[in-house]
Amino acid sequence: MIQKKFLRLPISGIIVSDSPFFIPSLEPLEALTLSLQKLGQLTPVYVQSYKQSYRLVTGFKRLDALKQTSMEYIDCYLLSQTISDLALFEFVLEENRVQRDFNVIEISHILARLSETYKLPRRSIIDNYLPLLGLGRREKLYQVYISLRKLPLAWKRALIEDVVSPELAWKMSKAEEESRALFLDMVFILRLNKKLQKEFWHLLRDIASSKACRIGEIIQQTDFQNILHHIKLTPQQKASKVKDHLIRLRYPQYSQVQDRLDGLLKKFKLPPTVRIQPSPFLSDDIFHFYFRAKTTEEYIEHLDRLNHLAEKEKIDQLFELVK
Amino acid sequence: MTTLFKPQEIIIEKSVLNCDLTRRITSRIDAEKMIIDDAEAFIKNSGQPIETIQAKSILLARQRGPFMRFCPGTPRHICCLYRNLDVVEGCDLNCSYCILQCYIHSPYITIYCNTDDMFNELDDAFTKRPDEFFRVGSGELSDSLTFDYYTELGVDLVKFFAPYKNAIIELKSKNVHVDKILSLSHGHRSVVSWSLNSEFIHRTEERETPDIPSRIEAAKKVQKAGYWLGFHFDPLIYYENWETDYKKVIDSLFAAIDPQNIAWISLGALRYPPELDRAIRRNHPDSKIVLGELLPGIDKKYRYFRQIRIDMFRALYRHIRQYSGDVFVYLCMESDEVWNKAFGWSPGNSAILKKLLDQRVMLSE
Ligand code: SF4
Repeated sequence: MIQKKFLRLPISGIIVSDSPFFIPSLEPLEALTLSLQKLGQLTPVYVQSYKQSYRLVTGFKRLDALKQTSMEYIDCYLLSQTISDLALFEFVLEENRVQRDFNVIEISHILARLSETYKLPRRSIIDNYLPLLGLGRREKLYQVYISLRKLPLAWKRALIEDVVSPELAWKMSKAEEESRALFLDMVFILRLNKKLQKEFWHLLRDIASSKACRIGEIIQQTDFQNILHHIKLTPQQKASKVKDHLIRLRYPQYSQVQDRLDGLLKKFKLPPTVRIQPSPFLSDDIFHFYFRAKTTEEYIEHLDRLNHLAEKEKIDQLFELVK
Repeated sequence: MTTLFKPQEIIIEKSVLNCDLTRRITSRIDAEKMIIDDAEAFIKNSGQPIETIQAKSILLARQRGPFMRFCPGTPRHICCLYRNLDVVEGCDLNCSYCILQCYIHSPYITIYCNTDDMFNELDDAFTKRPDEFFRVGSGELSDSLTFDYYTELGVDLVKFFAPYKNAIIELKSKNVHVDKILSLSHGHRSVVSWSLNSEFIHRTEERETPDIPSRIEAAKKVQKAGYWLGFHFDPLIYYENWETDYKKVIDSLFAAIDPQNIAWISLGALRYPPELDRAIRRNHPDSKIVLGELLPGIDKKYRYFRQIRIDMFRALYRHIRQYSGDVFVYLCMESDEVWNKAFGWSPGNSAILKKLLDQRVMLSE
C-alpha cells in the first residue's frame, strides 16, 4: 500500500520538466478542461518532494487542463520520497490503466521510457510489461510498438483513431516522409480497410523496389492521381481501380493476357446467366463454362449461344490466349 | 572460391558419442564441444532464434525416424519420385532462395551420425525389394558435398551404393569438394550432380557458393573419374538477361562435359511457399527474386506466371538440344500441360517419369 498525504499546492510551484514519469499523449484536453471548469478537480494528482519543491508523478493532463482555467491551486497526494522512480512509474501505469486503456502512441512512449530512462533489459520489458499493456510477450510487438512514437503526427492520429494498424505503420516507417504522407492520404481518400491497406502497401513496395523508385513517386503518377481524384467514383470504385492499376504494374505479363481475355469476353456479349472462367491467375489452359437455366428453352438457348461462339471460331481465340 | 565452414561449437548427443562419424568429425574440427542428453529437447529449450539458416554450430545427433523418405511432391504436378536421404539437415551456403529457411526448425546444422542404422535401413530396402529401383539423394535438406571435407559422407555413400544393382545415389551440390571421391570404385552407382545458375544469379543470390566455372571444373574432374553426372538448372530465375545468361552457362557446360556422361539435366523455375517469401525478405533484404511475377497456385505456392515458365523452359530445352539430341532433360514439379508446351512431349505422369529416369542409370544385364 502506497503511503500518501493530502496537500493543496499552488499550480505554479509544481515541477514537470524532465519528468521520468511523463507519458506524452495526443488525447485532447478540451473535455477535461470543461469538466474542471464545471465541477472542479475531482481527483487529486500525485506529487513527490523534489529539490525543495514538488515534482508531478501522475496527472500531467489534469495539470495542463487546470492551467487553461482560472484555478491557482491543485489538489495533490504527496508520496514518500523513499519510493524508487521505477516503482513510481509502475504506479503511474497502474493509476492510468484503471481509468482507460493506453492508446498505441502512449504505449510506444512507455516502452521507450522503460528502455531509455529506466534502462530495463529488452527481455524484461517484453516479459513483464507488454502483458500489462495488453500485448503478447513477443519480440516483434516490442519492435513495432516502440518505433511508433517517432512517426509523423498524421500517422500517430491515424493510429490512435484505429484507421491504420501498428504493424503497417511500423513497416511504413522505413519509407521516406513523402511516401508515408501520400500513402496515408490514399488510405483516407479510398477509405481502405486494414486488409486492403496491407495489400496495397505490399504491391506498392514491390513495384517501387523493382522500378528503383519511391512509393510516393508511384502514387503521384498522373494515372494514379486521376483515379484518386475522380469526381464521379465512390471510394470503393476508386479502390478497385487503384488495385487493378497496381496489379498491372506489379504483374505486367499476366495483366496483359488477362486484359486481352477480358476484352474477348466482353466481345462475346454473354448474358449474366452464362459465365466463362479461366483458372485463377491463368495458371493452366483450362476454362470453366457455367450457365444457369430454369427451363429447357433457356438451356437450349445457352447451348446455342456457346455453339455459335465456337462456330464463329471465337472460342478458338480464347484457347489461343493461354496456349 | 568459398571458405570452409568453421563451426563455433559441436554439440553431441550422448547416444552418438561412439559412432564412427562422430569420431571422424570431432577429430577434424577444432571447436568447443558440448555433450547433451537429448537433441530434440535441447533444440526446444535452446531459446535460439530459428529464423535464419546461418547456423553457427553443428549438432551431432541420432536419426530417430527413417533416413530414406519419398520426396513430398505436389498434387497435379509430375514428380520424379525421388527418395531423400535425411542424413544432414542444414547448409552453410546461405542462398537467398533456399527452402531450408522455412523447412528446418533448428538453429543448428544437424548431422545424424548413426550411419550404421542408415546403411542397414538402405540395405534392407534394396535387398527386400529387388525389383524396385531406388533413386536416392542426399541433397534435399543440405548440400551433399558442402560438409564432406569433415564428414566424408559422400565417400561412404559412394562406397556403399557401388555393389547394388537396383539403387543409385545422387550427390547434389554447388560445392567443389570432390577430391576424396575421385579414386573410389563407384561401380556407376553414383551420380554426382551440380545445381547450376547464371553467373548473375550466382553473384546476387548464391554469393557464398563456388562460382559456376568452378562447379563445371569440378564436374570435369568427376567425369574423368567415370561417374555419371547430373545438372540441375534450378531455380531458374527470370530477369532481364536471363536467356542470354543461362544459354552461356549451357554453352560452357557442353564445352566441358560429354553429353554421354550426363545422366540427366533438370529445369525448375523458382517456386516457393508463402513462408519462404517472408523468410527471403527478412534474411536477404537485398534479394530481388521476390519481385518476379510470382503468382499463387492451387497449392498456395508461388510460381512464375505460366507463360514465363513455359518460355524459359522452351528456350533452354531447345538450346540444350542443339548440343545433344538424347541427353535426358526433365522438368521439376510441373504439370503435364507445361511439359507439353515447353518440350513438345510429356511423360504424362510421375510413374513414367520415374521409369525414364531409372532407365538412364540402370545397369544393363
Ligand atoms: S546450397 Fe542448397 S541447401 Fe545450401 S543454402 Fe544453397 S540452396 Fe540451400
